[in-house]
Amino acid sequence: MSAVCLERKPVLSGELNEIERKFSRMLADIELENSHKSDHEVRYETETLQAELLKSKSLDLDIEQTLQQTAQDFEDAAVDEYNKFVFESRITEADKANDLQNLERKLDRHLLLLVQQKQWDQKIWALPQGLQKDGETMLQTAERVLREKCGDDLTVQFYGNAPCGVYKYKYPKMFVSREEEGPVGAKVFFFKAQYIAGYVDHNKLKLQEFKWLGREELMSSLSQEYYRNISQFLIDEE
Amino acid sequence: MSINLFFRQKLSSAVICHHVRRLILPVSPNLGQQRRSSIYEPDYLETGKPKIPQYNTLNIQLKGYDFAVLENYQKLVHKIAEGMDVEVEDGWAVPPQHLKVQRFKPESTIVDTEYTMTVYERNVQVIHLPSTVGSILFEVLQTALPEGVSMTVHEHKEEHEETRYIPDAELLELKSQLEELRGPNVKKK
Repeated sequence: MSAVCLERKPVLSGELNEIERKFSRMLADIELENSHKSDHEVRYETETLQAELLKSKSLDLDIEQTLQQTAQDFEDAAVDEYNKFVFESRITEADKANDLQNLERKLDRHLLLLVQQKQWDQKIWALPQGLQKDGETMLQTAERVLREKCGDDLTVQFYGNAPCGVYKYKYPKMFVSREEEGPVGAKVFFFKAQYIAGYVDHNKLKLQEFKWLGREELMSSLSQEYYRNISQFLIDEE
Repeated sequence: MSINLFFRQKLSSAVICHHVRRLILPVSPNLGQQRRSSIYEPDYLETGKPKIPQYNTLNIQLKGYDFAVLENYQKLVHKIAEGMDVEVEDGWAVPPQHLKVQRFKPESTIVDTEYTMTVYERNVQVIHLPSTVGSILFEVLQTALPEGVSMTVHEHKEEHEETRYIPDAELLELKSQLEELRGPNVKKK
């Protein structure tokens, strides 16, 4: 069996905590002290010197120079423009509504696709998985499973030909076939993919049957063993 | 010690033998071959090859507007690759691209504001990357990308090597002058 670990990567960078903010400010100061003067700074300094000379010695004003925009004017205009610009808020509507099917949620964190699957007699939440058919490589199985479960609209990029994890489980005794040679359990190989564009097809999966979860919410939806296996190949977040 | 040297000599002569055989074969397969058996090729030439397929020489190209952040990210890429036991061959910078962006007033050609932006570039070259490690490496680098930096990974080709060199204007000028002096009728030998 192969399964697809489909993740939407974070769109925004995470918020910095107190220590990180102080450190980044310190790094910026160090960078400023170590760097050479930029063209703008040089121009600013020469113009302030000229202005002081004009005041003290009352030289003839050079008409050409006064018509050009001085460095101070340019800086003021730039600062004005920056203050006028309105940034989008980090918390989107999907965050407020806690809409688990929406991809706009949690823009600074990873979102993992979970699908409701029928296992024996109950329904459990798991990564979309399916059986391998004859003549197919495991990666082709994974692609086929994703297309079948979520439709063609979803554009996805698989990371490589090799799987990133395995999960083995045994079938419970009631479901094992009576013969000795029948399958006793299954091995699921996970393939990592990143989400690029598109939406999950609602005809194939109704709203209750899939959800995009952040890392903190995974533990509550998955069984402990499954979660332990999966968390080994998911990139950590604080 | 002496056994080591002897072994090393034997190895180099075996490799030379192998290369020479490759050169000779297409020309005359039967001349000079008095032995019926094939030339001895040591086993390690086949078993020494890596079992997991490897990528060709890859260039990780990093582009961004803030070169302090960009250079630090190049350092991080190098560290991550070294930590994963990936051979980092080379790391270089490419002259920046200067862009002039003009913002027009809506539905007219009057310039509202003008911006001069520079796109800085840094490259990291990686060789002998096994495909299994490659997928993990790309994902980790993608997750660690800072704001304002974009990353492209491509195979190393000749034109990438060419862009690193600044053409010598004097030399080109002298060459063109020489061509003019020679005249159009002189045949090239």
